[in-house]
Amino acid sequence: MLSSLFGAVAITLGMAQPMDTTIAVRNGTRLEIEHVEGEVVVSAWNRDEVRVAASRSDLEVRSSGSVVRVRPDHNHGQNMGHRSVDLRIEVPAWMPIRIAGTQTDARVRGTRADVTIETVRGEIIVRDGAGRVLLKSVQGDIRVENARSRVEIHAANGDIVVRDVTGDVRVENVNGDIDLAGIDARSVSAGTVNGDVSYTGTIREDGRYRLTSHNGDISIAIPEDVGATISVATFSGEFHSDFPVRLDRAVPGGRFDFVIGSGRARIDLESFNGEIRLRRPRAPMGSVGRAAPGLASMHHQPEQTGRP
Amino acid sequence: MHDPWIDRLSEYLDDELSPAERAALEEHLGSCAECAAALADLERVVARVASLEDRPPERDLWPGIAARIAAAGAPAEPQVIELPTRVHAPSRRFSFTAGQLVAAALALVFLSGGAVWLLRQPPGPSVAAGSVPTTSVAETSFVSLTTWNSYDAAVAELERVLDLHRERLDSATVRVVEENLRIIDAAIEEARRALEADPANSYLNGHLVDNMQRKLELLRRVATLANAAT
Repeated sequence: MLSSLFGAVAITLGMAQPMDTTIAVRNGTRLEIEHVEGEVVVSAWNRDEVRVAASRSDLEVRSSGSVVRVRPDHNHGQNMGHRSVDLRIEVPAWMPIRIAGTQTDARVRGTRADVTIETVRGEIIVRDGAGRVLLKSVQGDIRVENARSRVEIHAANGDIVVRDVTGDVRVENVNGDIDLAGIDARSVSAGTVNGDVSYTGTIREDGRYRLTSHNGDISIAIPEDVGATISVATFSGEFHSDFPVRLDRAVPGGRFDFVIGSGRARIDLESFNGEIRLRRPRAPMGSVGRAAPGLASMHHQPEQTGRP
Repeated sequence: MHDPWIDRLSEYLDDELSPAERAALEEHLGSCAECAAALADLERVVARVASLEDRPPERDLWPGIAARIAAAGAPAEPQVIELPTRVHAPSRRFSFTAGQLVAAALALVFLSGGAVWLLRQPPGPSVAAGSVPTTSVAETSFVSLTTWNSYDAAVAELERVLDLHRERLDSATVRVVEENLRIIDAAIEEARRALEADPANSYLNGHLVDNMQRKLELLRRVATLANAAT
């Protein structure tokens, strides 16, 4: 009987009661969710089935070809004044997921496949993933935790936390902090306009790490055994290091570079107005002024950065 | 005086110098801040180009907008460079000289929008219009008037699309977007003013480009959302 569900199936229920429906899927099928308002929670299970439980039933759940779609049933025009619906969805761990939401809080947990979430407003949390994670939001905090994934986030207004991730990380924000902790990546790029950026994680010898802000502070933990060429650029900000560094050269163009150890990793740190700080991994952030012995501290004025 | 080594940095990065030349250049890099800085800039540009995605822009308005800008806003005889679909092919050779570095960085403004065109004009006395900055900046920094004109055209077009469908977004979202655009504009203005004092500053040029790119990306994303909203 389940096999009949592999074909085109559409389930549209009346709106009076919650809905709970399960459909079988083949490996290779992806899930696409359109959502207007409310919460979407997706978690992985070990069955080749998709289960959709919703607080309202004016939804369309359609399996067609290699796609399962969950979206508002636009035939229920009388329901447009009550668009909020909470979804609980369980999926096979191999199933790629795409969520397009408007005022949507989205939580995805445990999937090994790609996760794409694009919302206008709402909080996004992705945990325990193993596929590529691509998140886009205009307003709302974003959190990615405990993943072996390539993570890419394009946000605007909200704080971003990426924690305990193995995989390259790229984060763009406008008005909010970016906190990257427990990262193991060969390529990291994180930039915001109004907000602080912090990084704690491995610095691979062949890695590239770029942290930038306009009005915020930059903080990066540099383990003692790291070999890196570090480039620092600021216009009216400051540079501090919790450990001694020797400025090998102050180069034209508003930057200065220095090398520690082998110099193989590349680290670019830029803040137009904020403070740039190197610290040891266990040093608390924001403790400038109570820095460890050997603190190298430079206060950069525009003329100094522009013309060393 | 022009440093001859500066034109060999691309070959150095591509490992195309002879062992003797490589050793000589590395010795030179130890004593020449200008070449060391140019090499660092080149590495940054290559890394940033390589990090760009070749994402198919689903539901994206950008291709049409880019085409309209190219048709309506471009100079009479632009140098149009067709870029390969996959800009991050590992084997691609980046043959920039130091003078082309920032021009390449400026391309990122448009590349990330999915456009396949790039206006690369030397700074010149073209007509400033709209919000184009003072010519003193545009003529002496790497961000040329052509770039500003193209950027302004892209912003204006995206803002037009956004205005057209603004009512489809809730008022709180509109306020947030407007506030974020103001924040980016303030950063752009600060970078632009800093460049007036130091037009050749590679950090400031790159920072300005980053924020121009950021504004375009936000406008593009919100305009697409508004256009798609029901």
